[in-house]
Amino acid sequence: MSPAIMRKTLTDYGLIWLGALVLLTGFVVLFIFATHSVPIEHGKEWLELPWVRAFLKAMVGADMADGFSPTGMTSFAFSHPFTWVVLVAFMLTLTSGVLVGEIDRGTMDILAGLPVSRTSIYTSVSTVILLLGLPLVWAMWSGVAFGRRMVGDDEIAMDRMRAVAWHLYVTYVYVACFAMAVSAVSKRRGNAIAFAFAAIFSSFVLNFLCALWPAARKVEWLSFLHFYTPLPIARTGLIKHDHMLTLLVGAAAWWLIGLVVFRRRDIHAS
Amino acid sequence: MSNHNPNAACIDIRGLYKTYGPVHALEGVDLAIAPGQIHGFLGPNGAGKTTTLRILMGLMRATAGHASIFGLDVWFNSTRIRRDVGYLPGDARFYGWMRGTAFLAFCDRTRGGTHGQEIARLIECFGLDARRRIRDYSAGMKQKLGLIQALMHRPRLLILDEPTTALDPLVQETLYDELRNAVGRGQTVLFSSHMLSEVERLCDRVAIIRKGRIIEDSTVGDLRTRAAQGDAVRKVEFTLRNGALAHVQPPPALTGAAAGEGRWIGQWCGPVDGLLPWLARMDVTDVMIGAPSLEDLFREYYKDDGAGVTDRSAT
Repeated sequence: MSPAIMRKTLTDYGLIWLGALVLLTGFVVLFIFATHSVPIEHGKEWLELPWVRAFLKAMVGADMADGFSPTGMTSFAFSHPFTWVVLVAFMLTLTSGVLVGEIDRGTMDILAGLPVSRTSIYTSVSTVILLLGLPLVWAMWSGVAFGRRMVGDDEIAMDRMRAVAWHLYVTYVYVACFAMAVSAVSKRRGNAIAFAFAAIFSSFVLNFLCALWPAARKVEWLSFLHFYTPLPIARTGLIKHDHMLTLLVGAAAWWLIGLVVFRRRDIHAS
Repeated sequence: MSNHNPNAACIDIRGLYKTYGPVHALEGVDLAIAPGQIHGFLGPNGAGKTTTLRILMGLMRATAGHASIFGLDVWFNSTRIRRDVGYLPGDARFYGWMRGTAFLAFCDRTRGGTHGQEIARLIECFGLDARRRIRDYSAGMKQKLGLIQALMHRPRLLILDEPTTALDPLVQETLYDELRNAVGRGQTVLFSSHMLSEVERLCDRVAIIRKGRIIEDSTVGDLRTRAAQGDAVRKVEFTLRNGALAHVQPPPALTGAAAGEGRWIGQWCGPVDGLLPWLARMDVTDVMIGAPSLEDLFREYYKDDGAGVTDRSAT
């Protein structure tokens, strides 16, 4: 790995990372405030609507109406569309910016003219992207702790939320590695963003489809969200090791594909 | 890089092919560049100059053939080779949000972080305001920045893709001096160019590439000798006593026009021994006959059909 490239990547994307950190933390705090200010009966009334129930089940991995609790409700913040929009936007900005973005801008010519191997470039930027995800996820957990203290709600179990945060991080690793692979094989940054976004969005669509149409469940494993189920974890506090392992193996496979292609590909003049 | 062969060609290219689908960018390039010389690399647009240089830098992989630098394969040892190579890409792009100093510090860090003094010297030498953000740089300033990052570690080999692009004449002179000094220190320079004047002034040897093949690889002296044969064109200036140009009937090979006060500025096409007897008959007070220009020779090489040009790489 190249410390110079890691430092450069951190400098280049530090501001975007800080923005994502603030947005996610702020969102979780607001989420705690919002859920606390709504009477629990209102929430239960909403959950009686079949489509709301199905959509929530698709997002959090279990039926929220079965054993409604503040911890279970808070786990929804970790799979809320806003959370995903911020995380995916952050990941796509970084992963497309560091490989195909450099090629597209023409700056890769200078970078690849320095005595740094392509493997080193790839591992350096990957390490930065994966490490930057940790504070994002733990900022969300800290947001829960902060919001819980502000509203004086002791019923949210922080140890269980820690398990949810770890699971979210592993999912982040999977999506980031997939996006790195797409960036490594693409010729244009716009194409890389479009393809990665389409694939991630398809995962969401498939996940919702499985909740509404039982026949789709035969292929539900194609969606990475099938392996991210925050509500069952929030209920038990137990990490789903099989799901995490699947995501990590998938992440490693994508990462390796990206590395192999990036090492061998031609870098054309922009 | 301690285990290289000191007698080996600095760059050795044999039978290099590169295809992009149906497009044949290189069709058997052969080129050897000895250490310690300035080698010009010329050719019309799309001839394969940049492709060759990118393959040498490990940015692209050759479809067939072999290329080595310091005796090391350019694809499998590219990182090792780049420690001793300074590279300026054609149309170099930079991180616009960085300041010049930050960019050079970044390049320096990847090379061990020990070239601060040389960077400061080159910044001063090229007159670059390195404190500004690169996005505010003019094209010339960006080119200076690219040259500084290529030169800063005094590499054994400099590969420069059209290095004088966007540089004003004074900075071009500074670059020429830097390159001459580099060769004086034993460094080798390979640069592509469209400017024949700088090739004539600077290079020891010139390779010309056309349609993916090396069609000429000679010393500049050899090229001049060849240009002097046949219909070579020379610049001719002379002044007649009393300015009596009105009565002068120039020979057909002399073209040009009177420039006032008895001065004639024009061109002589052909062997110079046809001009000298005619000048001797005139009442000339001053005469200047230039060296044969390489322009026409290069123009022949650059022609699409390449008529009259033999492929010297095959000999």
